[in-house]
Amino acid sequence: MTPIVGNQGRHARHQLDPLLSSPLRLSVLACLAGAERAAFTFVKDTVEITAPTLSKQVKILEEAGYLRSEKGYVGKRPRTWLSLTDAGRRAFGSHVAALEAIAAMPSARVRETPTGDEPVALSVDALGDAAGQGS
Amino acid sequence: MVLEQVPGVCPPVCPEQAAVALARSEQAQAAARHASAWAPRYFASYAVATVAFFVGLALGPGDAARLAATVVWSLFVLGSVLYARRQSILPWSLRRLYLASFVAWGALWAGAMALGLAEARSQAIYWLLAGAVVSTPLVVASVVAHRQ
Repeated sequence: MTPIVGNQGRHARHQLDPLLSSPLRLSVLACLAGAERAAFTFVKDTVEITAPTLSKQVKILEEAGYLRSEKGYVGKRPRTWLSLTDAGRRAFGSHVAALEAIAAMPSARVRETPTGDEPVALSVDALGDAAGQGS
Repeated sequence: MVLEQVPGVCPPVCPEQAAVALARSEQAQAAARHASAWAPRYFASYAVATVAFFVGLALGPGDAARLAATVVWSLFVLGSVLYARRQSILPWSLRRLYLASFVAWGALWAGAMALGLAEARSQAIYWLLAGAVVSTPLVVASVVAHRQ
């Protein structure tokens, strides 16, 4: 039996950040991870979303303490700069590490417990038994 | 009892979904890296301009040549500042790299100019060597920025 667990004894999905389960927010953080700061328009174009959508995601990430935005000027043109906070950088790093751990696992079979709130790892044999009981 | 995951079906996060999320993340990071390529170019152009300035001092004797080299240099500095300000991304740790390289560059520049004007005003070889030495921190910074 091979349990589907990460290196801390729990399934790696427990280390996933729920806030970053949104592909948009993950992409925004990925875009900023290698930069001290990036222009709002650059992130918008890179992630290929509209300005209002990015503004909404930025607000969510700011409220979580993952991102900060600053307004400035380049010449006479206003420019908004986005940058990751230390917390955002840590969250992105651990989320990516968890994704890598999950991606490295063989495709697993998981069932839910009778309460339905905490999926349980099963071996192939156990899954077969469970399916037999359910039918 | 509900089987949440069977072959071909993968909630809540299966390896395939994780791989897709990672690929998306890597795509965004690659775009950021691509946009950050201006930094090594910036340092390299400063290194080349430094050498050119000192070559100008070496090959053009007289105050007129020095004045011309200084004017061209000033225009280059102005252009490089505008170029850097227009960039939409500031690569990670660039500020530290910038500070370290330009402090070293400035110290070498001041030393080379002070020594050259006092002791080797008309020795072309001195100014050529000085140009190479003074530009070294910027060449190193360009390589470091490229590797990051």
